[in-house]
Order: sequence, then C-alpha cells, then structure tokens
Amino acid sequence: MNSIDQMLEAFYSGSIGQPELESLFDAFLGSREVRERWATDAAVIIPLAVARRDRRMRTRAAHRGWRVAAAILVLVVSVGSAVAYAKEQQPRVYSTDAACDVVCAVQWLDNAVETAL
Amino acid sequence: MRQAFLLVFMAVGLLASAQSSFYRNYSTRREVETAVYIKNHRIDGVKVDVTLLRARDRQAFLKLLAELQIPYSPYHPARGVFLGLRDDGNPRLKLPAADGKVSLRGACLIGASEAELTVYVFHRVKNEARFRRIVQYVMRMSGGG
Repeated sequence: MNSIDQMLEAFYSGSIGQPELESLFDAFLGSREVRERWATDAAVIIPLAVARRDRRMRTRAAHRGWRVAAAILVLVVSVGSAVAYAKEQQPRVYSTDAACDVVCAVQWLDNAVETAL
Repeated sequence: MRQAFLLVFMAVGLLASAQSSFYRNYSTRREVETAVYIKNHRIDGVKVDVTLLRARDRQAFLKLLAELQIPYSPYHPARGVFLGLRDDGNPRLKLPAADGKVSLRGACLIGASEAELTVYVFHRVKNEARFRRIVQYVMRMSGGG
C-alpha cells in the first residue's frame, strides 16, 4: 500500500488489524523523507483510526439492533393482522335472543328458505 | 408501518361493520319478536351476511311484508321472492334488467316465510356471481325451478 489512505481503508474494512496497520505505518515511515513528514502524525493517526473504526462498529451494531427490532415488530403486527383477519372471517351472530347461536340461526334460515313464500 | 395501518383499518372496519344498519333498525321494532344477524355466513361457498326477522304474529308479519314491499300471495308461483334493498332497510328495486345484467352494488336479496313468520335478507351481495348462487340456493331449498 502506497498511501496512508489505502492503509486506513484496509483497516476500516477489516482487511488488516491494528498490528498490521502499525507495521505498514512503520514501513511507510521507513524513508527519511516520509519520516520527516509523517512521523509525528502517525502517533495521532493510528489511535484516531482505531477510535473511528470502533465507532463504526458500534454504529453498525446499533443499526443491526434497530433492524432486528423493526423486523420483530413487523412480524408481530403481521401475525396479529392475520389472526385478526382470520377471526373476522368466521361466522358470528348478533341476536336479540341470546340462546340463538350460529347453529340455531343457520337452521332457522334453512327452515325459512325451505318454506319461502 | 403498512401492517400497523392495516391492523388499525381492520379494527375500525370491524367496529363499523359489525352489525348491519338494517338489523339495527329492525331489531328494535315492536313487530319483531326475534332478530338475528349472521355475519360471514357461507352459502354454496359464497360469503354473505344474513338478517332474520321473526314477526310477533301474522299481523306483524304482513306489516313487515308491506313495509319491505314484498308482494304477498299464498298462490305466488315463484317460491321465494326477491327484491333489492339498501342495508338501511329503505327499499330500492334492483331486479335484473331486461338484458340480464344486474346492478348489485349495495343490494340485498330478501325473502319471506309465512310458516316461520320470518323475513330474511341476504346482505353484501356484491356481484352477479353471488346473486346467482344465492338465488340457486333459495330455489333449490324451496323446491322451485
């Protein structure tokens, strides 16, 4: 890797770990010119990179948690809707005579239809 | 989110449509001894709602027939009489037109049985297929053509 950006990208993506990042930085800082330019910054960049990676992982975990919660909510609402819909499709009787249930009402209807005007 | 709206909508629909207005209007009538509203009854696979009204006596029965415009005749050639009604009980004819097409939006089918002093109404007859199925059911049960 020829640039710090590439090293950091590899680190953020999980391709390399912190020891590898530090090794790459040390190799990168090998030449005198680079060392003069980046040596003091390396001591800042690596801890910042670690902190940023950790924050990213915590955020991803948090998002995952919300996604799981949302999926569970959708599942519960879907199941609840399906159960409510299935119950709503069942025959029900509303009657002024409490003794007349669905069976009684259907028999009454059949008798009435059979003896229709 | 869509599922939540569907659940709320169904709950409201359940509350709103639990009893037909026809049942509510007639179940408290003095002429009616017993009223029953069957929701989601299936007739030959067709889902309909049914209201049954049993009159207190023959006088009350005839009054209901007149009010619901069911022509009464003991010698009526067709077993079962069909008219259209709005669910609120206000009569509105919706017989099949001459070309055989039926407009059934919001219509009901109604029949009466003197032996049972009963008027019965099939609600939610939404389309011609349901209409024909119910007619066939009644004709078959009542021994008609």
